[in-house]
Amino acid sequence: MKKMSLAKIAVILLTAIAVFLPIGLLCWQSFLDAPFFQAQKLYSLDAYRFIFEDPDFKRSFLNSLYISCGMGLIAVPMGSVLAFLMVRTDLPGRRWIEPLLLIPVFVSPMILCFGYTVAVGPVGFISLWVQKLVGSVPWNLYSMTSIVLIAGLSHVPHVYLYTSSALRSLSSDVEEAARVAGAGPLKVATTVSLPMVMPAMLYSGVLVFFLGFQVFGLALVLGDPEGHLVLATYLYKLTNKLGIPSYHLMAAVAMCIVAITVPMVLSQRFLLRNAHKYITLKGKGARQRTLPLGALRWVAAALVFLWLAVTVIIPLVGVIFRAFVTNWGEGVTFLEAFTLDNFKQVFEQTNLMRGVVNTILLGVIGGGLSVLCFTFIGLASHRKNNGWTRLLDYTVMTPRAIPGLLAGLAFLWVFLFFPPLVPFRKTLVSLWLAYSVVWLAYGMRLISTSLLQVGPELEECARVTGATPGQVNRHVTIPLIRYGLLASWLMIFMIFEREYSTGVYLLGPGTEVIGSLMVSLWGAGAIEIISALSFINILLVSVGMGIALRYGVKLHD
Amino acid sequence: MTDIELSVQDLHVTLGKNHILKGVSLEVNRGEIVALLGPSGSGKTTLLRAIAGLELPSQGAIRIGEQMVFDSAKQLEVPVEKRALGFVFQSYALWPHRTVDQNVAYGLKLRKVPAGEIRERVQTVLNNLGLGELGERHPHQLSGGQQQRVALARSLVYNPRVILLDEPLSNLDAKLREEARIWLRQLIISLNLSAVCVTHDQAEAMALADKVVLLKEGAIEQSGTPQELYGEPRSLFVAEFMGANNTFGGRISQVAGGSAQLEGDGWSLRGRLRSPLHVGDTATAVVRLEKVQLAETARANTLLLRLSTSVYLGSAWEYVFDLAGTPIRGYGNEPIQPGEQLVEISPEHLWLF
Repeated sequence: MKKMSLAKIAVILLTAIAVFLPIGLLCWQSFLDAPFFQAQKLYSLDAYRFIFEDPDFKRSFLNSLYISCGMGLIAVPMGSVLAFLMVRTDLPGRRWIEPLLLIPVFVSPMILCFGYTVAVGPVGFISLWVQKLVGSVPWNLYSMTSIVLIAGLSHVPHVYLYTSSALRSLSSDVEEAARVAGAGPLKVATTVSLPMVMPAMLYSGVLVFFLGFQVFGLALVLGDPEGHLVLATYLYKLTNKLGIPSYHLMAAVAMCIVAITVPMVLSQRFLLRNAHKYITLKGKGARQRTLPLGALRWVAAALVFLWLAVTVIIPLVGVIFRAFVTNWGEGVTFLEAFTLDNFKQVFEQTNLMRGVVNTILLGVIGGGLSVLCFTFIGLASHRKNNGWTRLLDYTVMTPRAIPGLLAGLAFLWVFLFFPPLVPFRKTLVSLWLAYSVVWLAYGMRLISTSLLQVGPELEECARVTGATPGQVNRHVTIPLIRYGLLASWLMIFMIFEREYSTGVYLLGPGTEVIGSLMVSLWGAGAIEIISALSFINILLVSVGMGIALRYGVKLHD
Repeated sequence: MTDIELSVQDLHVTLGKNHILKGVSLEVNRGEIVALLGPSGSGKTTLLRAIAGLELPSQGAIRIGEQMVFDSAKQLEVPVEKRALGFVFQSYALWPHRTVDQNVAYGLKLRKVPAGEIRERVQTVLNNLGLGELGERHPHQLSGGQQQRVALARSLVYNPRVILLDEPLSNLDAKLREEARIWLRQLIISLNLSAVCVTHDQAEAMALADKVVLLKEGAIEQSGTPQELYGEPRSLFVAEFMGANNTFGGRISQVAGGSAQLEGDGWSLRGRLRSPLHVGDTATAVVRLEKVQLAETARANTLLLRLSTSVYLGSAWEYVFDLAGTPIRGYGNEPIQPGEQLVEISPEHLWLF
């Protein structure tokens, strides 16, 4: 029972190679003074010396730190309160708020920020309307404050997901005991429910903090006009800055980001160990009753709606609106400017059209293949606990610390200079591998949640009946999790549709996807095309969400 | 050819830092039903799982029929699926995605039995267990008792030499359980199977088994027929675990052959020595509830005790007497008046440890 088969060890080793080879390459390159594929290269710390002396790098680092802290301060309290309202109270409209809440998770921040520029930028339609009313626009979308605020608001769902799942596993009698003892709803939330899910809040706080260091699209769109750089955009702009691709500098910046995020991810693991300290597991049939808010209901609903309006509705409306007009500015009316030309352009330009097709292919077929791989990886460590599975644990966790932009860069190098992979460089295979590794932790979470629901005795019983471990997998385990696997496929599809940063460095003829095309078109200022692509992307994600809602697939655990 | 179907020798199992089984040896003859009995944490389920191959022992040997399936000295470990055992899980472990027929047929399919024969054998075993009509159903459409029989059918259909049952009756409600244990015993005997059955219920163990093995903290405390364990317990633990008992302490005042006199605060009783004790030792006395009886006249080993309370149980009355602060319980057929009563505890049935 305890021995590992060779096939399982092979799966674990392959996974480890797929994750650690690209990162190792980045690490190695950062300590060289020339590109790693050149014959003449020396080990040196020049790259680090250069970036540490660059005032832009220092500014980017401080901005990233500012964004991270701000995000934590905004998202953690708001996400927790939102979770309490959604899970534990009779807030009106919870059913339809739930899917809307998750939009910032499934729609790329590129699109949302693009929507903000259209809606509340200096000449945005809301800005113009406000200007007409009060004479001037009372906000500046491109200031650091706005960037932090938007980053914070759009990460509220991340905190919500963790805190709400902890709250769901909290038995409601502890709250009822507090009510009986004389506490009002607010008192119950602040003195009983939320303190009991403290570990989950802390966990999501760390998550938001390191996601802050990975912010890319948001800073690219909103930081550009006034030149606010963050670490990821600094990396992205390095090439432009020096005029030549400077591999060692890029690698050094990448290592700096990783040096911040890896300890965070590791600390999350430690936190998770204590996460269930307070959680009193519900017994069978213990129902959760909602807490009546009384008159506070409508106040709470209004606040939630305000958050939804600012974080979801304004940017989405902005970007959809922009997709259907020729130009926008003072004195233009919607009916005059209405057009479908933006979409026509997308359909006429082969690379854009290929991007759309590739995005769908990558989501549907690539997503399916990824789920297949994740399932193999999941089965390799299923019900095992030894050195190999611990290696796999760390392997799976590591990509969380690697921003997609860096992973894309690392995979570009792997596909450029690792001979057996070179023929795949200009195919979707390179993108698929990079996407699968970047979303490995997420995918494995989906799979292992399904696997954990299979009772161990169902598998043991098949063994006793005479099935080999392989037959147990084929006849019992996989058939039992098949709906879980289909749901995972759907989730991976949506995540792959959303992904934009991983493809940035891998972008080339044949490997266009909507996300990376938008990043590159943003540099060229092709607003109309970006908005049309955004609309198509939103449509694709909506299809996924629609299927999920129709078939009752849980969008989170 | 021996008659021993299953033999376990000096088996040790360690899980993490816990030494769960500390050298257990056990033999099961053909057609014999052995019950593994013990409190929770005594290692009885671990022993069963180790026999099946679901736990890896650190030391010892296991033989099924003529085949060694585990031997630590020879580094031999036959994988679970090659041991050809039947196993009934406590939760039944019916595969929810398969119908009753498919659940039962699985073991035959794995053994590459022709389809026609599979159908026949599945139907036969289902008929035998009174499940003939239920083949098309899925497990969630069955009652608890039906699920238990499907689990049994699934482990019997491929004719294993030995069947292992992990608390097979614990998920049934109390009334059904008492019927099921008689039915289960008759079934196993009629099929001439060897069975090992884990239970924590001493009454169930005695009703089901030819031999009871009582485990305590990973070692066998005593094994033997139900009568031996109930009537001749070798230790205080066994005596207290089996049956319903009165337990009280005293001091040995006199030892003569196999019996001794135990004295306490204002009382003195004669009892059988069940462990070596000497004059002046403190000892624990155990007497089964049903061996405490009302007496008509004062004799040796009768005591005049005050009745604390009496409770009507339906089939009998339970009396609670007071022996110098210790409650002494006994059964009787009629209500008795409060006050002092003559109570007899025969020396035969008062065990001194």
